[in-house]
Amino acid sequence: MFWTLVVIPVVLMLMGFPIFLILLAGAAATMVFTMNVPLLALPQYLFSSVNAYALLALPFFILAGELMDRGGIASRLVGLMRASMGRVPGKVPMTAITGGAIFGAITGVGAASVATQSKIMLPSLREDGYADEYSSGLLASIGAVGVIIPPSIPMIVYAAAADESIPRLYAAGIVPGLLLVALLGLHALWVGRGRVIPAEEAFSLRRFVPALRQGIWAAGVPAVIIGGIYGGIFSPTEAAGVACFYAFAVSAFVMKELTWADLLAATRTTVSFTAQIMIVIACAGVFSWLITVNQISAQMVQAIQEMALPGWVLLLAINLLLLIVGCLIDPLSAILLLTPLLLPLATAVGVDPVHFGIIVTVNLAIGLFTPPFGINIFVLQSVAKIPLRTIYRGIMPFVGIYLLALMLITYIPAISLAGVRLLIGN
Amino acid sequence: MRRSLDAFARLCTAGLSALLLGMVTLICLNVVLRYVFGASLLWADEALVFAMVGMVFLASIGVSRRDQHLRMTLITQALPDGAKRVFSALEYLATAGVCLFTAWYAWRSTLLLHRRGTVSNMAEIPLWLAHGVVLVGLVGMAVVALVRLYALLARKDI
Amino acid sequence: ADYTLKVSSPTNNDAILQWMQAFEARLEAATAGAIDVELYPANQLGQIPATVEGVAMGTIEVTAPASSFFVKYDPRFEAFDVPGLFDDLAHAQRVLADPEVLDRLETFGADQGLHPIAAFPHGPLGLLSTKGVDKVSALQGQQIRVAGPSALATGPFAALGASPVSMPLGEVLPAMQNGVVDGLIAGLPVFTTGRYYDVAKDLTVLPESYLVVTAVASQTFLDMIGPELSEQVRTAAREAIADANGWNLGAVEKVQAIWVENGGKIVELSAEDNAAYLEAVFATLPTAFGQNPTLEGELAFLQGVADRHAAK
Ligand code: NA
Ligand code: NA
Repeated sequence: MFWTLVVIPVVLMLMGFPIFLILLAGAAATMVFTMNVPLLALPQYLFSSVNAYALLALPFFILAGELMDRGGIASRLVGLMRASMGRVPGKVPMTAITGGAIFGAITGVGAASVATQSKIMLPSLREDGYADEYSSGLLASIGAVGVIIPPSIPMIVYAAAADESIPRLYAAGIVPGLLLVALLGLHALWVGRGRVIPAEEAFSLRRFVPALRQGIWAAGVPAVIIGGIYGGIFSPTEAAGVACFYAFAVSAFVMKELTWADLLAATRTTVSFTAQIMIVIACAGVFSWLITVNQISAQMVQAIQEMALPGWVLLLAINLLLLIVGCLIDPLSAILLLTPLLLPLATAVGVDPVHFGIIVTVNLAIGLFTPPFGINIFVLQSVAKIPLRTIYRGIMPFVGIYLLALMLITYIPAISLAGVRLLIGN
Repeated sequence: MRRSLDAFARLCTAGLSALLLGMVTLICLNVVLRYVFGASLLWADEALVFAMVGMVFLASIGVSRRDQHLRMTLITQALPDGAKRVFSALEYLATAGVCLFTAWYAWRSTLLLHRRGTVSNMAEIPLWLAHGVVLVGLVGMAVVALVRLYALLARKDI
Repeated sequence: ADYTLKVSSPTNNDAILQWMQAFEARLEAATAGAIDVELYPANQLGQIPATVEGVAMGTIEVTAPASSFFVKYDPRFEAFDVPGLFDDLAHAQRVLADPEVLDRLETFGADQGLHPIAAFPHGPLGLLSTKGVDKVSALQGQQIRVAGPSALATGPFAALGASPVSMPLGEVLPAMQNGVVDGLIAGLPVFTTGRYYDVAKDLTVLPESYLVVTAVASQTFLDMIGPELSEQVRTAAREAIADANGWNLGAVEKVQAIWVENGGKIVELSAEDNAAYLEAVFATLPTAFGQNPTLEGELAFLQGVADRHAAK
């Protein structure tokens, strides 16, 4: 099984074969040579891995990003942000980070945030002279903030697996999410230090007012979406569809920048990106299923349990396990699989289940943008057309930032639990 | 040959674009219906997800045709042309083999669902139709790979 | 072990898990380890419709969700969704465990590769709403998430002035928090395990309404292991019902206590309102019979068994 689940995929990956093929070949070989299961499972899990409501937001947000990009909303939004931030060093990456945080409050799907943000922000990052390496690391990792700031699909799944309360987890996710935003912002300040920002970029009402007038309809995108979700008009997934409609209507009929040809090009691109990304998710789903039914993660957990580690080392080991699993299989399967196994170990050393939910979410959020199978990497690769080598190199410092945040979140429970006490009580 | 293939591909692309726009319309319509009229289409969620699955597997054929599948080319891009050709040939062979192997079981499950006439829970969409897109996608990707393999071996440009 | 039997369920720490564990212990002992049972609660093998498909195709051996998930495979399953059959939980347990009911159930879904092996009540159905429902007239204008599109699932609520809404279960709680929907119908244990008390307090117990779980095995698997082992699977499944039921009798009160402990309120409708609710249910039956021609006969059969088991 080691051969078919690990060696074959790794060899094929190094040979430059398509990712979906690597996963499908490894899964098929595992089922044929090492297991006694009906092979009908192969197409069945290909289907059911993408037959998931949680994924529906992905094509919609990709389309919204395309429409905003082609219809002039994106450039106006960026113009507005630039005008309002004056001569702050690293302001373009900061804009991306702010956008990521706002997007995080909109959607619970990290990949959707990466797709939209890279469409909107990459041109400006390039214009301001940021290397693609930094930009791709920033953009790939920014989506992870989106699943830590509520709403969050992984937290919903954790809540179901751990019998925990979704509102509590959401309340617990706010401070850790903002902590990450702050760390990323500090990093952006540091990267942007010493950059000379021309004096005419300084904040002035003469610059800000026209930018606001130009961008008021564009600013409606986040306003309508956030207002709609928190005002109880639509669910986060529906918000993705409404965002497409709003972006289309405003850029075609109010700003009159979007042509029918643009609309067709945007849908064509969206269909292609969705297929590129989700065919990988489909095949990864079969792979995850094999890891589940062969009880591989259960064996890993048992190995940890048998070591009888002291509390803080155990937490470190659990983090390590989650990081490894998060790099290999999709976060939702990982949560379903590992939560029932790991939660008893964590509560035994006095970790609050809500706090543990945040630890799990942050870990798997890191898995969203770490090699080899981080889905945000693939999104960036397909939407922004940046070579994988550049993305991998750019990601490393951001993995460091997230690990720092993870350690703070793991060992300072108050970061997670303060929000719960404040918003819900007991 | 090539021109008719291109025309067919354009037709498929247009169909999938229309499908996506239909999905956007349906999800917005459901919001309006619920908010304004206090009623919603109970079948909409399931139909939307099935439409997305169909879009993914059918569009995968086009992704194969344009050679846009996600991959890691860290090592292979440095290889000499001859080695690249060998790797490509192996890749097309593996794609055709794995996709056709999986497609065989997709065919059997589609046939089984068709014979049983099972329909989905909310939208009552025939399951053979929903699962059948996996079959079409796999066969399509295999055909693209085989055509590529032929072109590579015959040193033709298709 | 010669064979592996994977059991899937959508939930955790409830009567279904008790049944699964008892089934595992009994079957592994009876077959002296020839069959290794593996338990996958909490959707670990996929969402419910995918696990049902898996059982129908033979890639999962047993799945145990609410009976309503099998209605599209065999309309006869819908009879378990009709309220008014059972007086209380114990009565529902006695009826569903009756060999006559289980024998009949075993024939459901035969042409779809399904082989039902057990049935038991999960618990009473409740209606949780952020706006509260203390009388049926309060339903007017409320958006209520329902489990299915059938006349039986939507009709009574539509008749009482509510708007039935469809939404994946995982999205309902955040949607209630934001006010996208007002409430949902589910088995009582779902509300406490999902900690719904954080978003709404008033949990209305629906009269004479119970969520029924049906455990269904894959016919492909039963054929593969041969008649002897297959018989042992069926026996162990039936024997495990008693274990689950015994555990569940006290559990429903515990669930209600947990709800109250966490600041929630259990709302019982007045006798009049209960009657009005059941009236609305029965009024939809003709439509339901029209949609599902098998329903009337199945209902009459279940009613007969229920009458026999009614408390004297
Ligand atoms: Na979020
Ligand atoms: Na076992």
